[in-house]
Amino acid sequence: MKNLFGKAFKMFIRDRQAILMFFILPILFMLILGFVIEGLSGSATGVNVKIAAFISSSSLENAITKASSGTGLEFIFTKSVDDLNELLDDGKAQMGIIFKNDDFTFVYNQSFGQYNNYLKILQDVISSSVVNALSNVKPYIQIRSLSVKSGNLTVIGFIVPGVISIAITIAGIFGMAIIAGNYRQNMVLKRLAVTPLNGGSFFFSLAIVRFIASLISASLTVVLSEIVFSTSYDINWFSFLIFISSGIILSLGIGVILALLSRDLWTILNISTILSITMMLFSDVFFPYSIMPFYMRVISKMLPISYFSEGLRYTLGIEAMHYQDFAILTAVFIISGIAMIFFGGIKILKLERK
Amino acid sequence: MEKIVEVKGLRKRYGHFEALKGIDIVLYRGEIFGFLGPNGAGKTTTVEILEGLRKPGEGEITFFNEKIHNAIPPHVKEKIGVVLQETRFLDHLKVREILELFASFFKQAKSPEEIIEMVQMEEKADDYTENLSGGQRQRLAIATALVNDPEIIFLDEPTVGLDPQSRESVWKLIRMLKNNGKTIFLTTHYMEEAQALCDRISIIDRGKIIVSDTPKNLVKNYGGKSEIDFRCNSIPLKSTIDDLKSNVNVVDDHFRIETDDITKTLEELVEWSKKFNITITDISLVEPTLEDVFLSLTGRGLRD
Repeated sequence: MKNLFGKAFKMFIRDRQAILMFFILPILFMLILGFVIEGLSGSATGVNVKIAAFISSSSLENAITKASSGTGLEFIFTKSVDDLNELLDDGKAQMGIIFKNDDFTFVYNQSFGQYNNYLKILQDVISSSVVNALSNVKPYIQIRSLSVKSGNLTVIGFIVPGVISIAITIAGIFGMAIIAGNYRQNMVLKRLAVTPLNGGSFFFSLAIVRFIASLISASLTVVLSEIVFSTSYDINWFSFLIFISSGIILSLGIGVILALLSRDLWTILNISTILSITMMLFSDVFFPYSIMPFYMRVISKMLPISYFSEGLRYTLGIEAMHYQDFAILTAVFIISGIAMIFFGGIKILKLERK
Repeated sequence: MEKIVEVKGLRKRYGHFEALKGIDIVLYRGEIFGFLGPNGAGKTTTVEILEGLRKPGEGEITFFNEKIHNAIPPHVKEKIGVVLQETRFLDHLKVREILELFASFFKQAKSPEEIIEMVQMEEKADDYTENLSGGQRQRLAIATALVNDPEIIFLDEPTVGLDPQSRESVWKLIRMLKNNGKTIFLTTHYMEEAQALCDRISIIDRGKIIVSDTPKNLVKNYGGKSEIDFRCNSIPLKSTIDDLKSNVNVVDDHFRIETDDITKTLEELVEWSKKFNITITDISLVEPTLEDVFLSLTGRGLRD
């Protein structure tokens, strides 16, 4: 296994395509999409949107004011829901928030249709920010392990973890599917199949190298995003590294499974592309879950990328999640990823034995 | 002689097509066994079953006196070396590294240096496999089959696509392996290869082994007669030709005698030329080959 790992490492660092895929792609992805989103949102550190808000309690009003300080969001607190609607009708605010009986209601003025997608992303940002900020005063919201600098949360700050999760997932899936598909198509695996080598061990060694590369790449991408976009995450590095590891393992596992589908590399690439585009569109990153029709939400909820983004936001301190849910999610990702790599690897080598 | 591999009544079916119709093969220690047949005869199916790449159908396979049931177990694979028809290596690794990697798959393996010396690739040891020529790649493929110091080596068309020089180099390597006591199962399309290397040959056609023997006996028993072609300085009279005991045919611009005994016929021809004062200006001998053996047995050429 040591020799196998050593050779897998050498093959990886000598493979320019793999380096591009695992190190350059995630950073480029984050930079390009980050700048696009930053352009849409006005600036990296704040947004130019006025929000009318009706809050049922003055203490919550203070908490929200505190939570939104430094975000660039301007809250106009109203005394009633009617006042809030009037501000929206007059175009004095682009979005309204009603917080009553522990429920958030977001109200939009349809005449500002061009802002709709952006406002709905903003809705997620505000929800996360305020819920996190209120976790100390509302004990029934059980987010005890969170320590959040909610005041610095921006749209770009909210989007970047999603972008990172997409980049990592795509790199993992493509990286593993390409190498496994290539070995299948070129009969390399057929040669290995006549030796006592266990297919699971072989693919595991390939995956470990890619896993380490992805882990370094993801950490670099997060740090770089903080520098470039002035995002300020309260990163729980332990949780972050564990969770990103689980996401990488799952992506690599999916890559192995895709390589099982065909002996033709182009077919595998096409399937990987379709899956990646689907995950990007349904990931709740670029198009908020809240604007999706029901059937799309079902698809979104079936894709691991949605959960990967969600978990990543949690580890970066910008989204609330029960610690128990986080632990389960991480365990499911790791176990299913390892199983896919190991048993998928065995199966691939078995396919060479007709 | 010690039996290394024994196959009895091996059958393999793909849907309605029966690729192997009950074949028997025995490999003895230290021999080069040639397995010949045209495309689609069942050659690849047989060799891939023995290599562990295909599941056998009916029949019995024994490796080293151990019966193989469904798949070749790892401890038997430890004693087998395989060179596939086309070998591609893992990218971005050097020759030495490839051998180190393959050696790591086995419990006991020779050092890469020893193998590199054996296949005479010392100068290429630190080259990437992508930069090797066809002949060098094939030698490396054979080298990967030798890392575990196997008792039997399966060589599936090891010289396909190689230039004559590279082919000669691979032949030399195969002879060296035989001299080192290895048992070799060789499949090939080239009759001259089989004739030059093999101790025994089996010919398979349409899923059945139609004959097994030494190359010499096969040619002797099934290859037909040798032919002596000759030309004379002038056209001899028919009565002069009839004086020869052998049957003489005119083929294009020369004469041809078919014979079972070349020496006797040549002696007769020399006597005949002296007797009638005829000068033989050109003479050539065409001996039957395995191709003729195959044609006479199946009515098809090996490459058909």
